[in-house]
Amino acid sequence: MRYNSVYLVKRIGIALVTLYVAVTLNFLLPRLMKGDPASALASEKALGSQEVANALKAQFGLDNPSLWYQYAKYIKQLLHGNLGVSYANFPSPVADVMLKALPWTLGTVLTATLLSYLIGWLIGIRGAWKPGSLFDNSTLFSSFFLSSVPFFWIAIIFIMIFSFYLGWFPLGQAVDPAYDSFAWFDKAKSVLYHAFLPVFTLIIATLAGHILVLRNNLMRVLSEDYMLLAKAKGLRASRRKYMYGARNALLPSFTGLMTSLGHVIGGAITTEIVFSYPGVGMVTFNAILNHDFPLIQGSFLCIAISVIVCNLIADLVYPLIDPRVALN
Amino acid sequence: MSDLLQVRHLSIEYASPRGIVKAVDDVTFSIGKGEIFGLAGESGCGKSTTAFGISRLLRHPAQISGGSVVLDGQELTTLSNDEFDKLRWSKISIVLQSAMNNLNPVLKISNQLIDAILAHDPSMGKEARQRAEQLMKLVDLPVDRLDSYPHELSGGMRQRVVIAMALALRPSLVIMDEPTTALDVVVQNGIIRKIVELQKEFGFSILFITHDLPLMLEMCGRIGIMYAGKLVEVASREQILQKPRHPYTQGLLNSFPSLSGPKQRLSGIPGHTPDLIRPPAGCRFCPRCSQAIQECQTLPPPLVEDAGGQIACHLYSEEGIAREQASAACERS
Repeated sequence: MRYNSVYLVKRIGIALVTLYVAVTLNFLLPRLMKGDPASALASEKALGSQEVANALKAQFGLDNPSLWYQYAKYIKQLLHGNLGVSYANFPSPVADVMLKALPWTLGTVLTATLLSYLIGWLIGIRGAWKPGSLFDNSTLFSSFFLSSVPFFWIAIIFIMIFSFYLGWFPLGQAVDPAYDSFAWFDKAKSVLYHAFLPVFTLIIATLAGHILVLRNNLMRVLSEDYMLLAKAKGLRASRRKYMYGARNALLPSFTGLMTSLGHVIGGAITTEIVFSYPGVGMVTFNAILNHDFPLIQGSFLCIAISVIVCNLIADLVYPLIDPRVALN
Repeated sequence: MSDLLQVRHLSIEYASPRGIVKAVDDVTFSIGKGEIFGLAGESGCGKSTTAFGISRLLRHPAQISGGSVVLDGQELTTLSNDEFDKLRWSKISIVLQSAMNNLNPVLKISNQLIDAILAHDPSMGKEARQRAEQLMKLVDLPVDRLDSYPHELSGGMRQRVVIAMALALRPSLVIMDEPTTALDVVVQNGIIRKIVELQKEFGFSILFITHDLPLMLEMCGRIGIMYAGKLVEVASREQILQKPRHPYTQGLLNSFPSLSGPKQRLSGIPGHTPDLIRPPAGCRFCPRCSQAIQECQTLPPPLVEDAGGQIACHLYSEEGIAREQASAACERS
């Protein structure tokens, strides 16, 4: 192991403190808003039943005006995994709504993020290795074009071309309307068929940034003396390219990858809206439109936890891939 | 002493937006077996470019535009890249200037020593590690440092590793491009001694490049002085020390203080190096030369071999000598 226990304890400690702050902010934010969103957390009108509203108010301490009391109740419920009840999906608990949307988001956004980084890195490496080549010039030009085009615009254009005119893909949704009656094989086919275009769009829309960053990093690394020395040593081109070049150029991009992974759980709001895809992004968007406070809180909490966890993983993995980090 | 390396009329140029830069122009010299040959000159004179041209490490857009390089009877400029790769490190190795960036920061020292060995002899396997240990001992580094990463070593230690690496395959020529420039003088002294000691032990030749002329005078047998892409003088150390002939060599020597001699104001060389895209028509040093004669403005002086070595200066051609004598006579009368 390249890192010692002090490093480990420090990083985990920082993550826990950050998590606590995030949880507290998540508690405070609705209560700081104008009007009375706090009491709306257990709104009689939204829940439609006096008894349910009262029970919820007691559970979350809303029957007591003391903020400290409410805070203690909130933390207690959180530790029990209770995020409250979603108004818009009454009587489903927030946790259930989130868990239902999560697989769709993970399946599409996670796949797209990983593929986008992988493809972007490979293209960036190939371009930087032979700068000025036809491959480099064409990917560079496309990258500059794509990175300056708005995200949602690409999605709309793709739907227009591939779904509307060509009819290759569905216009939206995650599965076929008759999904429930399908056999498992047709179910899988339906899921993949519906997921293809959103994933493809996400990859295309984020690819350019990864290409440009890695190409830039690698160009810088290639001008280092150790690259010249590696060539003078007569090392194979593949070893120079990957173990000497890309290995060093990837270090800064790794942080970017982990940050992106942290945001995966938040979903890709614009893409999910354009494709009417029932992921977490869509759920969050609808929750905001519906003033579904418990669901907004739950969604924000999930995003906060996942960002913190991914940052922690990045901190723990980084010393393994960059030997210079452990000492700092 | 038979020649190991012969460089003949080597020219290197690269395209820039303003035109073609003749970074190295018609350079000819040779290095004997077991000789330490120095190449000196100020920044941008083409000394490193010459070394990179010999070892085929020029970066695009620089390229060899003419001349030949013969190592051990083998012409190098016509070899294919694959053929040249086989020759790399086993015949020519290189030590670069910057002690900080010479080693790959994410690989252990052992991996970087071993990959050079295995690239040329994959059958070495486990023995490569033993070889790496021997190399560490050779440069007085503890063997357990093999498992360190470059950032865990000091600048001097890193440069020792690079020197050990350069000797891994017992090459016949080691090119050292300012190997100690980034180090402080005390560490520099230790490294230079080590280099000379190893050179005596193994008998390889060294092409030593630096702008530090006093250092070069201490360790090199013969020295070539470059100016603006041209080799202006090649002579033995003694010759350069006692009777430097080219006005540029004289100027260079006058730019360094003497430790033991009388205190005197350093003169330096006025002016600055010429534009290599449009070099002066005659001698490139002419605009800065205090001894220039008429030919210098129009006629580039050829590099001529004579008893004192090689010199490219009109003052030492027959007409030049005659003219000098005439003007001296003129002054007397």
